[in-house]
Amino acid sequence: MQDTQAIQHCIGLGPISVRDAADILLTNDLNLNHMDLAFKLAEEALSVGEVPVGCVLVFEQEVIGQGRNFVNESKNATRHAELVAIDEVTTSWAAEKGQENKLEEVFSKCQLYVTVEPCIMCASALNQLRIPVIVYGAANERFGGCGSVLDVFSKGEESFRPKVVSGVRAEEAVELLKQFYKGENPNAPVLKQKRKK
Amino acid sequence: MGDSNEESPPEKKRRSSSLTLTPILNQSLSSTDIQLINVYTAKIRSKKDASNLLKLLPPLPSDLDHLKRIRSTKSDSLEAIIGHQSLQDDDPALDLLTPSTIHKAPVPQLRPLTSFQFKKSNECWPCNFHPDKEIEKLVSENCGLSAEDMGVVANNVKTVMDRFFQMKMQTCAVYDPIDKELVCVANSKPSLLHHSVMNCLEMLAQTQRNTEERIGNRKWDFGEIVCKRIVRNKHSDYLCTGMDVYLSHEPCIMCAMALLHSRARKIFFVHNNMNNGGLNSVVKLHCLDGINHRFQVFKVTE
Repeated sequence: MQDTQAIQHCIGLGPISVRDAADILLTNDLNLNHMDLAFKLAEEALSVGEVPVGCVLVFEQEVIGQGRNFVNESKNATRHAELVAIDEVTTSWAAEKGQENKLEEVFSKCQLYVTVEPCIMCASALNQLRIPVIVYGAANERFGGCGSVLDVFSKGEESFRPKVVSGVRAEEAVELLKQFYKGENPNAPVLKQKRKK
Repeated sequence: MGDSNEESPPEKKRRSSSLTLTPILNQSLSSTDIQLINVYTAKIRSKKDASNLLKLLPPLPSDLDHLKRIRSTKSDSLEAIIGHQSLQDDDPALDLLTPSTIHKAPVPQLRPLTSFQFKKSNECWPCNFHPDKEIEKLVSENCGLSAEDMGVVANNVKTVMDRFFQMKMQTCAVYDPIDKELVCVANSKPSLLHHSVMNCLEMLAQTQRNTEERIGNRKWDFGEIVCKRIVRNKHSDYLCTGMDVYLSHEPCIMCAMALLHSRARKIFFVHNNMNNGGLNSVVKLHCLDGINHRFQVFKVTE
């Protein structure tokens, strides 16, 4: 089972056996095929000059929100893949399914799949929505909110701790980021671009 | 030592006519307790020997190099720090010291970072101190702001607090200190994650996307762009580069990081957010290691 190898690096667990990985998949009802779509979104971001991160929100086996980085085009530094996906749920999906009043319940039963560790801002958003399962690819050493720079979940209410699975197809996610940073960020302030050289 | 609070830090509270600003600083800067460590010291036999002694003693280790090597005592003699260890019996420096006075004495453990810490450290043992201009400003009267600047802060605080009392919703305002005008104001919405900070940033972003569009034509149900002209930032800078942000409440961790992503310059807030505050109460994001932009944060007491 390819899935089981992919999550052999779980936070705090270190390398785990194929059977344990299968256990984690089963008990949390994870379906790592959703990462395919997250990666597709990340590639789309790269193709339009955005930081390549893609994100999928799944509720009862169904994708109810998806997003990719939208920062440069929107000129809004908070339009990260996760917040874009959340907005799709709260607007399009909720209206279509008549779920506007049940959003809190829906989010509290969602799974989030994202190619790169959510930043501190996004991790706090996920924490406030009480999204119980978070699966991500590469760690984010600059902004990571799931432990890399700060563990946002340890700062929240003690009654809620999401399950976080990391390292799923991390190399692929890093490869996409490398491709992006080979070209300069077109929206970075001029001075910063110069300083890098 | 420890964390006794008996002495309230004098640099923390500075009164203007109506407001008090408290800079939210890294613990190492705001700390007023001088931690001590015991090192070996001894009296110097004769004042003339001081410079010779300095040549004989090994240099202080890096964790003690904030300390002056020699101090004069009340009895007009000189006393020197030997180090973490005492001297070997055959050490030539011993000839210049009074052996019976070799003992462990408490000295400040950490380098003083503010002039207040410097003064307090010196009561124990004289230290070296190189004041950091920015930090000295922050811990000085009115956090280094002029009377005019304090007037601006008071006005903007009034704007956000008035709206907070009117709407019963947390409020955020963005102020441009270069053009000296308020840029936009927004309150939170009851819907999930639509906090005032995110709403302000969304408004600003919309004005950036449509620079030709007259801002006055746009309408939002949570706030408005206040300035009449098209918002600055023609240079494809980040949204809040150089901007000051005023808040009725300390932003949650999400909003605090959103402000950091947007490169705000200074943040002023009135009420703490004990549950999820990202700039004082739960974490101080702007003090974390590894963060790629720093802004100054002030708690305002009316």
